[in-house]
Amino acid sequence: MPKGVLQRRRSIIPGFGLTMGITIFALSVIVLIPLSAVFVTTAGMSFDEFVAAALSKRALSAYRLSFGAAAVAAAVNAVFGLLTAWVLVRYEFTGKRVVSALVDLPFALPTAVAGIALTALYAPNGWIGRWLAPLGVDIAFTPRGVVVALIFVGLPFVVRTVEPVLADLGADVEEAAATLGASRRQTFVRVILPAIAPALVTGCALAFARAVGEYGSVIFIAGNMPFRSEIAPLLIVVQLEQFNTAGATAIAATMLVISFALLFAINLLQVWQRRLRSA
Amino acid sequence: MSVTASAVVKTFGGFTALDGVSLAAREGEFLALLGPSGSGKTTLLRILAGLEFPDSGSISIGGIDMSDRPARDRQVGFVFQQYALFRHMTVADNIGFGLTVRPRATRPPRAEIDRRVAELLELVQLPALGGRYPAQLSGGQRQRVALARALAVEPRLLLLDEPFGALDAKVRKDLRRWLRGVHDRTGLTSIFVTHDQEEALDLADRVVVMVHGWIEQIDTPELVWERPATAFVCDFLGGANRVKAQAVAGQIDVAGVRLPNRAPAMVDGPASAFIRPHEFALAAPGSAGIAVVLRRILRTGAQAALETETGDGGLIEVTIATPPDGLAPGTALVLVPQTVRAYPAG
Amino acid sequence: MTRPPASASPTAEPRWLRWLLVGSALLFLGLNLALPLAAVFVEGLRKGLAAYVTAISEPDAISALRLTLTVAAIAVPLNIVIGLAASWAIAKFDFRFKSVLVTLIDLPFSVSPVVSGLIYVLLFGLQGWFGAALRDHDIQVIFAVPGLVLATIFITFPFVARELIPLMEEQGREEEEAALSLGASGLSTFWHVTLPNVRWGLLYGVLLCNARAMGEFGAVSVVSGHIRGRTNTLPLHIEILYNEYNFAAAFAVASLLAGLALVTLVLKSLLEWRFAGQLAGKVH
Repeated sequence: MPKGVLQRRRSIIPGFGLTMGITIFALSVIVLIPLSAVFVTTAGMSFDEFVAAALSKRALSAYRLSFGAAAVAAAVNAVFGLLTAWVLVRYEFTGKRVVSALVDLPFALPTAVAGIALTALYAPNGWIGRWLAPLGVDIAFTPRGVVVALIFVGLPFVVRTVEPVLADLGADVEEAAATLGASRRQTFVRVILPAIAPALVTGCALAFARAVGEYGSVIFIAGNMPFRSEIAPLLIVVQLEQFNTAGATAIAATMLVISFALLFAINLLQVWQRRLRSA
Repeated sequence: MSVTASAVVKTFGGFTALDGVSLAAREGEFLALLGPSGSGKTTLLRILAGLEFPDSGSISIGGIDMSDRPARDRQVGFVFQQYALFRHMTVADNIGFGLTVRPRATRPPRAEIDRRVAELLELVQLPALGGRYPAQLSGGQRQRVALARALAVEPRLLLLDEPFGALDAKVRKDLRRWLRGVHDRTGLTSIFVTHDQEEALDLADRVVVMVHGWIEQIDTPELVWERPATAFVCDFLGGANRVKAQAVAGQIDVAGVRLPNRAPAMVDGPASAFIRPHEFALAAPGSAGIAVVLRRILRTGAQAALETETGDGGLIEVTIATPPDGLAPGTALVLVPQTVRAYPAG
Repeated sequence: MTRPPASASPTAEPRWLRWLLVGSALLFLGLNLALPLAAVFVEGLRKGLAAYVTAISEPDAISALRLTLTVAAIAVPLNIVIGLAASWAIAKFDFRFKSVLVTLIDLPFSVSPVVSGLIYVLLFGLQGWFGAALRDHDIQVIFAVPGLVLATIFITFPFVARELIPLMEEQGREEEEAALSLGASGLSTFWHVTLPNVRWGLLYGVLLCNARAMGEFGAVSVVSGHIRGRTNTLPLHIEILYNEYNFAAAFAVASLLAGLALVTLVLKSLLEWRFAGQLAGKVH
């Protein structure tokens, strides 16, 4: 019986060694060791080098764009994702099943396809862009385009996280509020919304985390101009193309650290959400 | 406040939940709606609350027609089966909720709300738990918070849906007694739904026995027990044994034993007779009565419970205060009914 | 004798509000989801059907398709094996640090696709850790198919495991223990008891894994070198066409992948409706 960290109770089910072995091997070779390469390489840089690469003016603009646009997109998705989840859970209408299936489109559609499609819509001569251009509203090739793309990417996260919680919310709590004299609006604001808040926040956090690192959907519609409309992942690619592997790695390391911090926060959120639900 | 329901009909899809039901509760009365699942009792309760609307029929509370009013305008307190406490609010906030959602004109000041909440926490004997969350309470405590919350808005009518269904036996008994005490103190007209006959008979001023969307009988517990109006009520209450009998010349003939009918009078003909386990006397084989063979005997303290089998395989349960000696499985006996309630067969 | 009031149920909004909400949601979804999807097909056919067919049948497109399928054909089965192994280990046994393991398996989800490609360049690129060794043995990883496969496996690593772990945990161990107590071997138990129980969840995970494997762009872009006809997957081919202003052709090829996405959605929905009880947890 394997000892130490992986100590387990005796069980008559076999295969622990084999399956753990495969899992740990695959995890190490495919995920952990390659990821560590980023940090090891970064560690090999001097502090000044690292700061020059990871915190250069250009990099800072890129972070600002990536995180800023992701935050705006997550906020938009919070509102409309909640609306969508509400409508899907509470109401019946023709074509509801199709709509529900469509919500997962961003999961299934390749990012590059989404990218060129969104550009076709919002470019100055695009399906929608052509109506907005005369009004002086530019979407494609500006940071606004990035936000639009990230809304697309993050929508399913909010909807799918909120839906089950909304569905689970028993009708009796709303009926109780009604018998106590609350209007429908009061019931929504004071009873329903607080109950789904943890799920909503978790969904937003997931959407945000995904949006920060998004590449394919964004690079076609963003202007990709340094300091203006260049997202952080693009900056990494640009550095690589200029053979500045160290610079690219420094930025990647920064993004990884933030991603892991987000991941940690999301895990905490999900634990919190689970604890509240099991009341 | 008195409550009346008149000729209420409610169907769900093809299923008739209530088939033209009428009932009247007097002011201050504690009424039980008793029946098996599917009898319509919960539907009726929800219609009284305004959580459902009947297909036809009317509801009035305190003499005022409420049929068109939604739940939030009826001033009815409702205690849900699973309590429906607001998980994300403290106990105190739960109880005060109904007061805080009042329109500004009628909303009491914060201090007043806090005072009411404290008062109610005393009433339901949970004075120290105002700051806790529902998840931190036991089932019985949640039950009492749900009640306090319903009482906070000073309802004119209190409706309870299987209030003790989710609790274990000991807690149930204690809470039962306590609820009756609260009712007596507040004098509030209360209607509660239950499928537990012991509960209904123990607590209620009058019992409404329902089955299949219809009211079989409305009477005091004593009358419903002693004089069940229909075979269903008799069967549902008291665990009676059912045997074939014959109504002859105004009396009931059960296997040769003639007795007056404790149920409403019936015309001569075949009958279903109900005899409760304690309503038998034992006799030697050959006497008039029901011939049985003893299958099991369980002596518990002052009584003995006998399981007997008739000639055609029917099971009759008997409880005897002082069983004679020599009773063992396999003994042949005759059961002589002392009291019988019979209804037309079929 | 009476009519229910306008808002019949105490837990329903007035009808006008309901229609407003539904309308707003449909408008938003139509704008953000349906319209882009439609744009792919419409733009693909902009130069007519003949041009469409040419675009998807010209040699570079075909070899891109073949490469995409090859990469998926390697990555998906590997992830199935890893997913089954990981979920077996996690669901059928108790050990400490289980949640750490699950978090580690989930890691690729939170890594930007570009970084997912970069890490393999760091390992196998010319200046990479193994760069010199690979060059000595004349093995190409970066800018060649193996690199594409590795990056794709990384990206799709969690998909199957994420589906199977909660599902297997929900299903418990009793059936396996029963089979073993009746004398079945471990492998036999897995094949005859476990696998049938999880087959729909497995299929679901494979669907998602495959969709992502075939559609991955960022990671693959970094490791591929964009060599036409050799290391271009379908998404990369689309990018090249687009950057050459060959829009109609780009959309034509994109419509293939969009079609795949639709098929994936349909199959996914079918699985969800019919086998809802046998799929656990659906957020990705």
